[in-house]
Amino acid sequence: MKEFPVFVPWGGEQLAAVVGAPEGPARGLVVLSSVPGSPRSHRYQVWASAAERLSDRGIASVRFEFLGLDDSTGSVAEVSMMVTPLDQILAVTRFAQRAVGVDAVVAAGNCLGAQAALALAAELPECAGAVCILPRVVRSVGMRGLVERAQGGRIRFRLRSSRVIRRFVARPLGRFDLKVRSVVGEPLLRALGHARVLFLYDQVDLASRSRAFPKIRALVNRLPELHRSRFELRVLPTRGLERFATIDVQEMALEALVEWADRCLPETSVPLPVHSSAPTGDRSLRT
Amino acid sequence: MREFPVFVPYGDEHVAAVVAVPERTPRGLVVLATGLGAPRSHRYQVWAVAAQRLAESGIASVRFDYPGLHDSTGSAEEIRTSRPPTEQTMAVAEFARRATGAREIVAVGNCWGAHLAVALAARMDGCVGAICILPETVEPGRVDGALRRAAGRKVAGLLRSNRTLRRVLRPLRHLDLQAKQAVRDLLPRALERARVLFLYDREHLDTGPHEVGKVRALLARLPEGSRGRFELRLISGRGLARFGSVEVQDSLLDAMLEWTEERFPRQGEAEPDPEASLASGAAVSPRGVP
Repeated sequence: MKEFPVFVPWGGEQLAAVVGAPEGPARGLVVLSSVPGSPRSHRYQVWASAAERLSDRGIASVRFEFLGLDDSTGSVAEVSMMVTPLDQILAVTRFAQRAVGVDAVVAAGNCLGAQAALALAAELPECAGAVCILPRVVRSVGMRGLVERAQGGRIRFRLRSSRVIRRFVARPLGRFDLKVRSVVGEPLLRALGHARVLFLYDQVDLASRSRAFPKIRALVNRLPELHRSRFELRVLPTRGLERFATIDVQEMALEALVEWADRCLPETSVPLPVHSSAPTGDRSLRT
Repeated sequence: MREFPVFVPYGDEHVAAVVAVPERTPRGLVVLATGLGAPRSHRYQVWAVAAQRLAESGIASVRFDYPGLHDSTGSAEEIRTSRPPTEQTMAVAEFARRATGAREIVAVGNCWGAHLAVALAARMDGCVGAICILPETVEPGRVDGALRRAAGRKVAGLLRSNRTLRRVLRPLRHLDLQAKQAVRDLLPRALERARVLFLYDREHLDTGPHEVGKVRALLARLPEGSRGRFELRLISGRGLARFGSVEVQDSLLDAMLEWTEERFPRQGEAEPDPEASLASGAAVSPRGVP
C-alpha cells in the first residue's frame, strides 16, 4: 500500500487527509470520517489499520480531519451533532476519487462520522454503501425533551441523580418519547434508494440503546422491499465499540467494515482517467 | 506559511510529520514533540498554532506522530516512558533540517516529549536549545524501591489507601525522591552546549515543588557555564498539563516564541531560497515506497 498525506482545499481552508492506495488499480474508495476528539487515524490507529486491510482487497481509502480539528486549518468554536459537515466530506471524497481514479465509493464513520457517512451516501449517486458505527439515531421529544432543555439541562441532571425517578419515571418516559433524528432518518431513506447501509452496534448498545432499534426498523419498513433489503442492523457479540476499547472489538469492527466494502464495491477496477493535476499536499494560508 | 505533510522514512517504518516553512528562508527549525496520546497537532491544535506563529516569525517547524501511533507506521505494544523514541525524533529533525535548509534547531516537548527535547539538545549537533514543558524530573528513590520489593505491591497499595498513613509517609517519600535517570544523564550533557528552559504553571508548582528542588540540586553540581544556560520559568494561568484553557495556551505559546526567537537571532531579512525548498532538499516519498 502507498499512503499520501495531503491537504484538501475547502473554501479558504485546508482539510488534512491521508489517501491510501493499493498497489494495483483500485476497485473503489472508502471514505473514513473521523470524529471530534480523534485524529484521522482514529483511536488506536483503527482507521489506519482499516486503510491497510482495504488496500489488501484492492480498495483505496481516504481518512481526514474536519475543519478546525487536528491538522486541518480553520477554527471551530463548537462542534455540534445538529449539523452534518457534508460539504467537507464531499470535498475530500471528490479529491480522493480524482486522485486514485475511481468512481465507486463506500462511506464509513462512527458517531458524528457515521452521520457524515450517511449524508454522503445519500448525496452521492455513486456511493454504493455506508458503514455507520454507533450512529445516534433518536432524540428526545415532547416532555422528555422539554425536561432536557429546561434550565440548560440542570433539571435533567437532578432527575438523573435519583435512582427512583430514573427507574420509574425517566426510563419508561424515554421508551415512548423518542423520535428519529432528521439528520439520520432523512438521509437514511435517500441513501437506501441506491446504497447498502450497515448500522453497527455492540452488546452495550443492545442494552442501552435498544429502544432506538424499533424506531429504525419502523422507518426502514416504510420503504419498498428492494430498498429495505439494502439495510442491515448488526449487533457485534462484544463490548466497547464506542471507544474501540479492546483489540477484540477493533477486529470485529474492521472485519465488518472490510466485508461490507467488499460486498458493495465492484469486484474489478472501473477506472476513471487519473487527473495528474490533483492538488498536492501543500497547505498555504491565505491571509 | 506553507505546510507539507510527509512520511519520514526510518528503517522499514515511516514517521508521519508536518513540516511548516515560513515564506522566507527560515531563521531556524523548531521540533515539536507531543505528550503521549496526542496526535502531532497536539491537544486543541496547540502545535499547529505554534507552527503558524513560529512561521510568522520566520522560523520553520516540524511536528510528528510517534512510531506506532496515529498516522505513523509500525506497532507499539507497550510504551515505556523511560525509553522515548530518540533516534526516530532525530531522524525527523534531520529530515526537516535538510528540507527547510535551517541550520540550528530548538526542540520543544511536553511531558514525554520534554525528555525527547532534552535528548535532542544533548545528542544533536546544531540543537541550540530545548524547551521542556512540565518535564517529569523525579522518580522514587532507593528506599521506595526497596520497600516495594520487600513488601510487594499489595502492601504498598494498602499503605496508599489509608489517608493517615499516606500523610505520615508523604514527607518520607519526598525525601526519597531522586532526579530521573534520563534527567541525570541528559540534562548536564545538554547544558554543556545548549540552553534549556523548563516551563511550569502555578498549579504544578503547588503540587510539585519537590521536583524543582531536585533539579536545582542537580544543577548546583554543574559548572557555572552550564548552570547559566538553564532557566526555569512559571507561566501565568493554570491547566498547562492538558493545555486546559485558552489563557494557558496563549501564555505557553508566547513564552515559547519569545525564548525561541532569542535562540535564532535575526540577521536581516533574507530573500526566499529556492535551493532550500522542500522538494529540492529532501526526498518526500509516499509511505510504503522503499
